[in-house]
Formats: sequence, structure tokens, C-alpha cells
Amino acid sequence: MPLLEALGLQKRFGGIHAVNNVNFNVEMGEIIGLIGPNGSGKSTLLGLLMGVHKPNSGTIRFAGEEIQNWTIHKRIKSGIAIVFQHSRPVKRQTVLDNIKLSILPDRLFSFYYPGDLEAKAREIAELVGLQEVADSYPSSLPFGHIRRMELAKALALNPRLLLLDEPFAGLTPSEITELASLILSIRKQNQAIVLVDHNVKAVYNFVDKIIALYVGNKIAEGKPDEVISDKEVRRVFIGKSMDACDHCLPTEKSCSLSKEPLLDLNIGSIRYGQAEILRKVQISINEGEFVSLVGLNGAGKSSLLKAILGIVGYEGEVKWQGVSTKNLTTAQIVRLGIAFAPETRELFRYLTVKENLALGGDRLKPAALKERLAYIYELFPILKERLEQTAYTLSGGEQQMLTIARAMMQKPSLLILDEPTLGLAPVVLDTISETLAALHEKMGVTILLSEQNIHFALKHSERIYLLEHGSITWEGTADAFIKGVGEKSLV
Amino acid sequence: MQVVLQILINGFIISSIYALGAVGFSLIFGTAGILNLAHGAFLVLSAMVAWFFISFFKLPLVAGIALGVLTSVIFSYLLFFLVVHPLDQSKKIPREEKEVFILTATLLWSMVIQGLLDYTFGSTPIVIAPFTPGAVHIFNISITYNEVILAVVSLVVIGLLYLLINRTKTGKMLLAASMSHTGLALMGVELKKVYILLWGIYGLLTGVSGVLLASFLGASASSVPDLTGLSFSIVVLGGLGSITGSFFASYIIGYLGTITAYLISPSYTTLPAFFVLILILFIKPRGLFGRF
Amino acid sequence: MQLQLSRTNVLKFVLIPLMGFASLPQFLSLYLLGTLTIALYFSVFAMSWDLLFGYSGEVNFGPTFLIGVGAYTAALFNVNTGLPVMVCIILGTSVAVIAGLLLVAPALRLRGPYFGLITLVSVLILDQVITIFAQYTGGEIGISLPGMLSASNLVNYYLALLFMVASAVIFLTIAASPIGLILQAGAQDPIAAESLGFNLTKYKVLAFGVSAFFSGLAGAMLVFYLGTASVSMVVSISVVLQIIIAVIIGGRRTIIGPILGSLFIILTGQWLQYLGQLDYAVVSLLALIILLFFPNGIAGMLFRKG
Repeated sequence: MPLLEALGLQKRFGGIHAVNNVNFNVEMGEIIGLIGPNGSGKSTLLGLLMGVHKPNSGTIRFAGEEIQNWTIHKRIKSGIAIVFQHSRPVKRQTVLDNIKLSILPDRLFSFYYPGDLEAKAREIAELVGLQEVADSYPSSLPFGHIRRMELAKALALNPRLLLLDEPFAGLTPSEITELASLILSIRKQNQAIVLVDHNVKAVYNFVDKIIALYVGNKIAEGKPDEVISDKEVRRVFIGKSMDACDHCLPTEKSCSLSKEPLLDLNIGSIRYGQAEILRKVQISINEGEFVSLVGLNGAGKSSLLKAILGIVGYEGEVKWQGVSTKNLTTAQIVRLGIAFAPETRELFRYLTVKENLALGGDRLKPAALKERLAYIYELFPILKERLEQTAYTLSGGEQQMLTIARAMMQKPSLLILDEPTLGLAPVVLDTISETLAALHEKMGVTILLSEQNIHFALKHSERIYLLEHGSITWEGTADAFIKGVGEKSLV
Repeated sequence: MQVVLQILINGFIISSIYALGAVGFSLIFGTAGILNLAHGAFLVLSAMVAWFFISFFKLPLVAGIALGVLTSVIFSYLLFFLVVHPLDQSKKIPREEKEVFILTATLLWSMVIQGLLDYTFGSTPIVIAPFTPGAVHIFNISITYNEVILAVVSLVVIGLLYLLINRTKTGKMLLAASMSHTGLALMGVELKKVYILLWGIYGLLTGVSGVLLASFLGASASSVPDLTGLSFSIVVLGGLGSITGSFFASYIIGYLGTITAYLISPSYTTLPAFFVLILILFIKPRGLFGRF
Repeated sequence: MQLQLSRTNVLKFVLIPLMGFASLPQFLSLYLLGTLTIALYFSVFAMSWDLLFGYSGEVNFGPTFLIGVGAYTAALFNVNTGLPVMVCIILGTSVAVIAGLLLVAPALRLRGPYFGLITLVSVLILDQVITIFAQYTGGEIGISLPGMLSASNLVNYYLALLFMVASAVIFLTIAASPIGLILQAGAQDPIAAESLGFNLTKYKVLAFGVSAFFSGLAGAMLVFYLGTASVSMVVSISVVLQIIIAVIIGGRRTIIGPILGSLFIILTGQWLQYLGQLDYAVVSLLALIILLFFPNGIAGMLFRKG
């Protein structure tokens, strides 16, 4: 009997099918990698296994028992443990106290600590190499150490199934190898692991079996090399083959080089808690260009874009038309002429498509607004059909269109898009592709695109910046990218 | 028969006035995420200030009322700028405790106002003079013209609020703010401006409701906690985050209170509302239309 | 900072202050001693409240529901039956715990502001019920109790002191125990705590039960000290505010903070009495300022808080 069985799992959030009829099994002691681009449903699936979400339909069986309606703590007690993607240490307590929490039984009248608790906790700390900092607080520790502490806590629960949500995110290649061997060395013989990551390279060497997800559906399952060479999987992750590239050799725009860059970015550092997400990044965008920022998730693309918009803090300078935007609010930056279609879309869920668009054109006079709306309807005919529908009920692709359309309502000088192809079906990708091409070539909008789908990025971009582990590791023209870097960056 | 009609009419009037206050309370919660425990204090504050100017300075009714409402607006802004906003931005309070601190702070604000009112005006209830004397007689019961005006004004203001929120650009901005702060900022709209508008509207709605309440039932510093309790019984019954819910729940609670007052005793009006609240919290915490 | 039941802590928090307090009667007037006695009972109210607020992350807007039920039950038993004072106190405490667990505790499983709201309403209900049944309860004026703890001011003072210290030790034990750790984890990140296998509601109900026990007990003892049970001393919202203020000014999650805060509130309450009704406004304003600028309170500033 498999340790874990997932049958027909479905989870919807409004109009979005996060997990669509997914089936899979985990045997005792097996290590399974769950891969997929962002928006493929990986984290939601883990959330379903964990009890953070309840499925709309489907069953989950753990050691023969149906658990999909169990509370989180009941699942933990039956032998499941999780290490969350974004670490959740208990900040007011020391590392040792954090570990003690995982050893303590769920017994109500625990008025005294068991005599050997302290010793056991220190042992565990030593197992993950944290014995020196056991009495410090999480806020003083580097990011990697907190990861280790979370891992220790989960393993201390002695689970039969360990769920790891993006354990390698934000780590350098050497840190990844270190963590991987640590996990392997301290896990017990029959402990099964389900590991979610978008970093296929890291997962490849670590797991017994890979399951690939895309737009909530399982598209492949099998041994690592089988799955990696699967055509569908490659297309989804890398896009079509690099050689069959349709129109990715754009003409050079030499005229823009003489003028001052529209956006000039020189960032020293961006932090998220203790983790340094970005380090010494320099980017400049000239008027009329189409520039792409490519890289895997966790590379820091979103943080960089958010820094431009003033949503996250940063050390360094961001200049718009030569003037610093450091102390401006997000709304002020937007009013300068920068429009942003974020990864999380930030649509007004219960407002209609029309109302969302109208808010985008908030600063326009009524006549100009009408004209603008007409133009948007032309670009996005599908939105015109859905005018009176609330944003929440739109499909993933429609929501993405609305996000871009809403941003375009502002007649921006620079349009920034964060992973617009996120979790979208191929047909929709084509529409977005056409739209972006029209915006750029016909309307001359300057575009900064952040994507992990390199093929999509290459189709339109003149220049590419490759972001890996928080630093720019390559920059140049799209042409040079294909010849120089190509597929190597992913697998 | 007479009693039934009287209950129907009186219940309607008081419910409409409650609705005006509850809708404001709900708006603040839905958009800013704040349960303003000083709500009752604002209601009584506007009433007493209005009464003060009318009785002592002999100002005309409308002028006195305007001053009362203005006071409510001013104190709303004070609450936002001096208390709520600083706490929200405070780096000294851990994120998970912010909500609780803000909740406590609004309660303290309530006490400050209640204490000041009690000190200045004592504990005797005041009543605001009617807009017009006289009454109309239908089916053997009398309804004063004032009572009609109170109900009409409440509903008109609520109607205006409805139009504002659903038909104007500004209203849509308020709605949008309750859905995504980042999204709104990305539209080029300063969130602070939205908040300023929001608290101003809140002060206005609550101020008018308080004055109308005092005209119908009277008000005193000691009624502050009960009014706050009543308001959130309504808002929880209607469902936290739903303005429509608060509107309808006001009538349920209002009628409950009126029925109790007529059939049992006038001193019991708020008790049934509290029991309803506890019942709801046990059976269906999300209330009738709740989003949370 | 996880308080430890270490020798230094017991010394710091218990023995030294205890000795200090024990010697006070020699220096103070009877009146001041009486005020101090009230402050000692109040400290227990405050520590009980902090167990829920500082440790469990649940704000209770109606601690006086528990205090009032304990107090009035004990009082009514004393007035209407011939039962001895101790028995009445035990009965009062038991009813407070039962009432609390039945009516209020179920709200602990709900996420959001619901628990706070229910506690506020419970006080409003109790206040109204007492007023409505004034013929039995004495209404606004209160009832005189035939029984009392002791006729001697000195004995009363030491009794209160002993009670406060015993309570403090128990609260310290709980705070420093695994229960305290689990509660604090649950207060900071409920999902993370649940992911470590803890059924948080269980612990919150326990904390509430303990809080109810001490609130009811202290309430019952207080009214037997005062000789009257009245709404203004054990039920009204102003008492709720004073408890909240005491913990905030004193410093949450420090055990000694609530004690310091209570002393502060009760003593200044005496001094501000001449302001009449204005004293509530002044103290609330003061608390608001401290909330804004010194959210960790006095004790919080003295001991670095985690």
C-alpha cells in the first residue's frame, strides 16, 4: 500500500483552477520531486496535502486513511511534516526554543519540561550544524541557517512523509548541494519526501521520481531523465527549441543609445528579512526598447521589479529620466508614466472588468477614457466580451489579459510585466505574445519583461539580462544570448 | 393591533437610524480593516455637541446639528492621524500584535471621549429638539413629523452613500481599496488620500446617525458602550465586510429591540441584540453576507 | 524572552518584592494600606488578563465578566444563604470558570476579532442583567455583604499580598512552562504552530480557564474585603479599561509588568479622584500615549523583551 495517495484532487480559487484532477502516489521511503513553472499548482498541491487548503473534490489517503478533511495538527500527529517556502520561525523565541517546540508533545497539562528535552534539542541543533547559535534569536541568523533550523524542526517530528516547499530557493549552487546532502544524511530510512521546486537542476540529482505540473495539470511522471527529456516538459519549461526561433532577431535601435536611458537602475542590495535577494544589479533601459529579465524563480526578478515601483525597499539608486525615484510612493512612481502588471496581478476581485479598466484610466478625462477603452477592447477582444463579469470569476488567462490591459489604460511610457505567462495555456500565450508585439512595434511602448519562459522572452526582446541567484550573470542582445547561453541555463 | 403598528413604525425608524451608523462602521472595517470600538463614542459626541450648541447658544437646529456632525468628523480624523495611522506604521509593535493594539487603542479613544462627555455634561440623558412639532394620525396611532423626518433623512443619506460607492469614480476607489491596496497604488492613487476620504465619510455618517438617534431616543455618556456593542452586533450579524449585510441586519436588530421594548420593557432594548450576537458567533460567525 | 523558573528569577520577581511589600505596613497610613490592598487584588486581575493577551495573543475586552460573575455569585450566596465566606468564594470561583468556559471559550476557535467582540458583549450583558434584577443584586448601588475576610486592615493586607504572590508564582510557572511556549508560538504564527502538531484551541481554552479561575477568585475575595459588591468595582467597562491600561503601562508578557501597572493605576486613581469623571479620560489618554510610544511598557523597557 502506498504511503500517500492523491486521487482526483481539485482546487479552485474563483475562476482559476489551481489544481486540476491530479493523481499520484508516494511509496514509503520514496523521494519525489514536484516540478513546474510558477502558477503550475505545486504550492497549492502541497497546501492540500498539508491541510492549509481543503480540496474542492478528490481524496487524499495517508497510510490508508482519508485525510483531506483533517485539521493540520491531526495530520502532523499522524506523521506528516512540512518545511514552508517562506520560513516561519517563531521570532520571539531562541533557536533552541524553536527546536524544543517540535519535540514537545501536544499534551495539555505540560507544566514542566521533560528532563531530557534540553539535551535532545541541542542534539538536533548539532545535527544541522546550529549548535553554536542555539541560544540566539532567528532574526540574527543568516537565511540559510533559518532554513536549516526549519528543516531540523520538521525532522524532529519524526514524520513518515516530509513535505519540502522550495527548499533550494534563494540558495547558491554550493549551498544547494550542502542542503541536499544534509537532508539525505539526516533523514531516516523509510521517510518519504515530496519536494517542490522550480529548479529542475537541483531536483534532478536528488529524487527517485519526478512529477511535472503545468497549469494545475499533471503532464508527466517518471524517472528524472525520462521526465526531463519529455517533449511536453521541455516545451513548458524552456519553450520551443532554441533553433526554431521565429522572429527573434530584432533590428538594432542605435538611435536610442545616444539619449539618456529612460530607466537607470543601480541597486546595491535588496533584502527580505535576513536573505539578501539581490546583489549589485545594474540595468538600463532606453526609450523604445524591449528588454527582458530572464531567470528562474527565486532569482530575484520580482523583487527587482518591485523595487522599481517602490513596493520593496532597496539600497542603491533607481533613476527615471535622470531623476531619482527613491523617496517616491508607488502611486507617485506610477504617475511618472510607469505601468506595472505584477505577478500577483492585484486585480480588484469583486469589481467588474469594466470597473477594473476604468480605475486604470482613473486620471483620464471622460472623453479620453472612452477613447482609451475602445482602443483596449480592440487589443483585447476577449475582455470586451466579459465586461460585466467580476474579475474573480475570470479564467487565469483572462485575468492576465485584464492585468495587462489595466496597466495599458494609463498610457505608460514604460510597461513592466512580471511573468505574464504564469500558469497560462499555450493558446493564451500566443494572444499575449501578439499583444505585446503590437504594443511595442505599433505603439512604440518601452517594455521591460520579466520571464522564466526564455523562448517567450526571446521572441520580442532586443536585449536580455540573465538573473541568477540575485546577480546579473549575463547581459547582451537576444541574438548573442541564443548563441552564447541558450539552453544551458536551465537544465 | 395598535401595538403591532406602533412596533412596525417605531422599529422602522430606529432601524433606519441604526443602519446609518452601522453602514459607516462596516465601511471602515471593509476598507481599512479596523473595528472602531469608539463608534458609540462618536455617536454620542456628535449628539451632545449639537445639543449643546442648540440649547446653550440657542443656535438654529440645523446649525447645531452641523456642528455636531463636524465634531464627529474632526474626532474621526484625529483618531486616524494621531492613533490608527501611527500604530499601523509603528516599527515597535510586531506585525501580529498590531490589530490587537489598534483595537485596544480605539477602545481607549472611546474612554477618553466618554470621560470628557461625562465630565462636561454629566450623566443625564439629553434629547435633541424635534425638527418640527406636530404629528400625523393614522389608524389610531400617531407618528410625529419629526420621526418621519428622521427615517427619511437616514434613508436618504444611506441612499446617497450607495450612489457614491456604486456610481461614482470615488466610490469605486473606496471599493478597490478594500480589495487590493497594491492594486490601487498601481493605478496611481495614493492610499493616504483614500483613507482621508474614508474617515471623513465615516465621521459624517456617524455624526448624522448620532444626532438623529438623540432626536429619537436621547443620548448620554453612559450609553456609549451599549451603542458600540449594538453596532457591532449589527455588523457581525450582517457579516463583517458586507455593507449590504449591515444594512439588512440593522432592521433585524432594530425590530428585535423595539419588540422587546414594547412587549417586555424599554430597559431591555439592547439585551436581545447581544444574545443574537453570541448566537451568531457560535452558529455562523460569517453572518448573513460575510466575506470573512 | 522565555521567562525561566530559575533561582535568580524567583529571587528577582518574588522574594525581594515580597519582602519589600511585607514591610510596608509599618510606614503607611491605614488609608493607603487599604488602597494598596485593592491594588494587590487588581494585580491578579491584570496578570490573568496578560495570560490571554500577552501570551496567547487573544485580547479579552470583558475580563470583568469573569470577575463580576465570581464576585456576585459569592456575594449572593453569602447574602441569601448562611454559607461561610470561604465556601462562597469557592462557589463564586467555580461559577466564574464554568460560565467562562461555556459562554466565551467556544469563541477561541474562531479566527479574527470574534473572541474580542464576544468578551465585550458578555460584560455588557452582565451589566444589564445585574441592573434588571436589581432587587436581588442591588443594581447600580450594589449589595452589602454580611460576611468578610477579616476585620483587621493588617490581616487583609497580608492576605491580599500572599494571594497575589501565590498567583504570580503560578502564572510564572505557566509562562515558563511548555504551555507558555506553545501559547506564544501560536500567538505569533498559528499555522506554523499547528504545523508542529499542536492543537492550539486546547491551549487557549486552558489559558482562558486559568484566567477565569484567578479572575473569579480575586473578584470574590475583593468583594469580601470591601464588604460590598457593586458594578463599578467589578463589572463596569471602566474597570476593563483599567486592567488593560495596567498591563500595557506595566508591560505585557513580564508577569511583574501587570503588577507594576496595577499599582500605578490604582494609586494614581486615588490621586486623580478630585478630577471626578475626568480621571477616566486622563488615564485613558495616558495609556494611549504609552501605547503609541512605549508599547512594551515599563517592565518591557527594563527587561529586553523578545
